[in-house]
Amino acid sequence: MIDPNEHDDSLDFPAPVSELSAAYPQRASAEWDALAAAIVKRASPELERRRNERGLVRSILRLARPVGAAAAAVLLLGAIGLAVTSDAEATVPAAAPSFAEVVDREPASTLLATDRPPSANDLASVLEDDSFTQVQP
Amino acid sequence: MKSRAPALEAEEPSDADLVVRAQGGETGAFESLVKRHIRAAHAVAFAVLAEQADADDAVQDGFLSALQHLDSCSPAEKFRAWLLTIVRNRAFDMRRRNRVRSVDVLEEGTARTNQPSPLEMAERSELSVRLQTAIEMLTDTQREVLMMHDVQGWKHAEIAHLLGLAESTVRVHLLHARRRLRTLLLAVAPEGQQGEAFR
Repeated sequence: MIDPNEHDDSLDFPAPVSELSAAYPQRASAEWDALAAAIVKRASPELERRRNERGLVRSILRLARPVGAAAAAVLLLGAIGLAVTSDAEATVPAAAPSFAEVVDREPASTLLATDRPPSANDLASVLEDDSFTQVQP
Repeated sequence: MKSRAPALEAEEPSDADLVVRAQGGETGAFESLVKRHIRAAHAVAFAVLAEQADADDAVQDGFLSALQHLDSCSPAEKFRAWLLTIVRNRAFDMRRRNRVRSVDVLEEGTARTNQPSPLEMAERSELSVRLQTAIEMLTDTQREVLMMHDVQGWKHAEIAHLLGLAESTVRVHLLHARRRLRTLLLAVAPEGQQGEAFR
């Protein structure tokens, strides 16, 4: 690594000007402290604003926690209620009656349970509900 | 940099801790940041402005601006570099304003210029005045590099990091700055003293 402070003829790097420190007046510690104090004093309104802002945010967060919990509970209850109501109101479309259901009416069942062959009157009785009109011979 | 005892160093909060606390408005934390970095900030401002009072103003403005935008300092560990960049920008703004102002004053024909008053001249040493005059004639980058390295003892790497330059570029700027400053000082040196004081 090249140290420019060392004399290096090949680079012809000039040495620092010896009295250059005169260009930067030295300060006592008290002067630095005074400058720092002036900066902090000028910064106090901004620091206060930040403190207030932080306090406001904390207050909002503190308030928001229970409010948020309550809102979540209300939402949950609402969702449950909605689900229950939907189930109750849901209408299952009635399935079309099968052929057996149509035929298997009480009189027909009774008729089939007996061993005797059906008469014309039995058939008329079974088919009565379907507006069967008996044709007179 | 002064070396500190390890135990003492361990007790000191990091810049990141102080930044977080200052973001919440803690005065003590901000004050610690100010005290920790005020000299470096002043060195940067002085390297640009070459005037103690102007550098003080730039440092104050820089710290206040940093506080106002502290939430954008990310990561917080980089606070020092971030702050010094702000201070440097402030110093350049002031320098531009001062130049415009001095041109305006000259155009108005008033007596006030950048030249110090007789009283100020008397207060300063002759060498300081000559140095000031010569340093003012360097380019911005030459002046910054020279002041930081030769006057305030910054390392090439630190200067390179702050200025966003390669270390080798910083060395070249320093080389040219020293040569030019030497030439300028010899040119403004009184008769009989040339070549003696500036080796």
